[in-house]
Amino acid sequence: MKRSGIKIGVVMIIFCILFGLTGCWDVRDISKIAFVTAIGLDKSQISDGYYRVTFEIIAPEKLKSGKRPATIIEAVDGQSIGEAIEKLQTRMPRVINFDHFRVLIVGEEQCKEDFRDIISYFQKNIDIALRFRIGLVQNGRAEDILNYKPRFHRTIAGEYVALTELDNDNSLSYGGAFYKFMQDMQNNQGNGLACRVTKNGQGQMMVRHGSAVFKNWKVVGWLNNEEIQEANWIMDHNPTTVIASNKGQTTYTYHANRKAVHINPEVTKGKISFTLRINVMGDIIEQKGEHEDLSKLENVASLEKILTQDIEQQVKQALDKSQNYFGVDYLGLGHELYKKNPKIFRSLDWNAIYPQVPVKVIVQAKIDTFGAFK
Amino acid sequence: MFEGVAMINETKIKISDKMDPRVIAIVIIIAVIEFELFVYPKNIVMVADRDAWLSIVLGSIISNMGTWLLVKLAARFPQENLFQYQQRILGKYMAFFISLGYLLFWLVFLVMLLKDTVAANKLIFLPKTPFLVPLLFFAIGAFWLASYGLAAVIRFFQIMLPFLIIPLLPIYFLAFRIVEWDYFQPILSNGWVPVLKGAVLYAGAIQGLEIVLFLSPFLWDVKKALVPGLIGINTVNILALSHSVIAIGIIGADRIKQSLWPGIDTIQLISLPGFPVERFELFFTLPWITAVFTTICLITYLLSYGVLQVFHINWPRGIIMFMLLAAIFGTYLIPRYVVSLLMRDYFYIPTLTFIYLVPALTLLGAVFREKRGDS
Repeated sequence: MKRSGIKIGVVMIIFCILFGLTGCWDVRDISKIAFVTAIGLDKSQISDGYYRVTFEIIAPEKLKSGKRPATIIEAVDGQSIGEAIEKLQTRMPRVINFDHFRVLIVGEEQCKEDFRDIISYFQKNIDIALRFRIGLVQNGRAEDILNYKPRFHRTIAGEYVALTELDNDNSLSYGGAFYKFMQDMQNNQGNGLACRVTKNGQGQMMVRHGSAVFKNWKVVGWLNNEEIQEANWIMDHNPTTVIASNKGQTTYTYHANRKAVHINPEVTKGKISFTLRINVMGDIIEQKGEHEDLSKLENVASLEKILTQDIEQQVKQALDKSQNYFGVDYLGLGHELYKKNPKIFRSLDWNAIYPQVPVKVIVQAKIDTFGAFK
Repeated sequence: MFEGVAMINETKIKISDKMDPRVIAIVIIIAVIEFELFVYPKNIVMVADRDAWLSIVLGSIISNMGTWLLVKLAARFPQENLFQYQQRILGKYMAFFISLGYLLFWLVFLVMLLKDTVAANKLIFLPKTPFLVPLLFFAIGAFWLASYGLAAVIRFFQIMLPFLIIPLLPIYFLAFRIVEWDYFQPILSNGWVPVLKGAVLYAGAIQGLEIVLFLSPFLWDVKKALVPGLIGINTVNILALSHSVIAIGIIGADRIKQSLWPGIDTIQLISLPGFPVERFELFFTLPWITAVFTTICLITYLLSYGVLQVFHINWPRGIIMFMLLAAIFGTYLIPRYVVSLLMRDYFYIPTLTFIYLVPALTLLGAVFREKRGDS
């Protein structure tokens, strides 16, 4: 009897502890949390080495009332992002939280600094899922982008993420999730591409096209939408591309929806060269001018030849831009050499020899259908 | 001389109470999987880089051989545990010192497990809660379970197995969709040496496998435990390989090296547009808690009953409580988490010693000296 009394007592104590103590310290009341959805980073005008950190924070009251944007924008200067967040907390009546963080926008001036410093905070914060998206602003500041009014979504972060999710259907832009960008950069020794954000002609909305070019973890230039389309033929990215080719007086619009790229590095007597083989399959989606009968195979073959030449020209322009204009291997040829022959790659000063490396381009464009498309 | 009353009494159980040898598969899965769900495969990637998966494949061969060795040794002495029969094989004094080695190995491992639990609570689950509170809950649970003996611990493992495995399966399935196979190239870019080192590290990460040596008196036919034992260890190997392939193929070897817990980083990257759950770490929490708690229970049992046996004490509950308090106190002796991580990096050495080397020597001794237990 006495023993069972002790047992009941112990169970009661454990029960009280379990239900009395849990949650005392780590209550996460949603009404007391400020969810940061996007951060903009610019150079501060206060002092060198300072960031201007702009936060997009969900405003639950606006969310309830259906207002757009359902956010508030706050900007703080700080020597580091962590310091800026601490300063922001002094003016926020809610606990800042990054569970719903989705977008990082970096202004042009800040892009010119070592990107590893910028992203360090985001890599270390365990609340931040590294699949957030990044955007680099050409001719502008991240603060301005975050202050735009979203047109389709309740937040700029939502609008931007939706834009990036269209990647597979658009060859005029480049860039996916942050972790993929990081992996590409690490594979190419800090050289690579990242998504470019600009304002439209009237400066009223953000446009996501083109790309930022990184060299040794710093942005050294930009590719416009035509240049990124050219580069995308080589990159393992964006299978669908729309180009217009002229055959005589007729303009054909070709929708390339399947692409296979084979980059074959060759080392002969210590000399390195590449063969770039690109096979493209697509549909004719539009004709302008004299309408040719594409049901005849000879017409299709001659059109395929023209398309092949046009695509080959674009690929060569992309290589020229990368090798001769920037001298930066953002196309990933060095990584292909490393995959095939790591010892030789390690023995080279790849960044130095890259502009002189010969690349042979072989393109084959095929037409799948011409009468209907989706 | 060294037969502790409590453990011996526990091993003298009725035939009707003995368990099916197939239970060993479950025991191995639950015993081996623990905090590595978060950390894995960092230590192997640090050595073998993107070829870590190859290290795991080779390390799996070592773990299979280890399992075979342990089952063979256990089957030779089906009514006794290692601490009992090694006295007859290696001599009383040698056996005493080896037993002390095992006890120290388990104590340090328990401290590391508790320290990892503290770190996970501090960083992820309960950052503001004093770390002693969740630790005491774990300790109370482990005390309660271990005090009922190994049979109760194993029954509990049987109940917990689905909670460990089932949530992991959809995570792995979703993760495999976004694996970039390109990240595994070039294969063997640094040669075979790092891969082989990684294989040894992998084999040395399988703490908990030694349970086979203490389980035999509870099974009705240890000889039939080999196939379930191999099924158990290969389930662990497949999970480890999947985990590594996912981590390397999603975040890449470079990021794994920089990350504190690559397992968490990887799961954070899974998304399923349209699915109500946005953060899949949620699915990781239950397997983690299950894995860590069950391993804490098992190590608490082994440590406490080992002390009872080696030092002839017959006060199981007191010793279990004392050992748990000693382990909790031990967490205070590791002031910083980086020290605990460093300890984990080197813990493969005692693991290899006590899971592979000592049993191998004991089996050799038993064969040469023609020692065999009662069937």
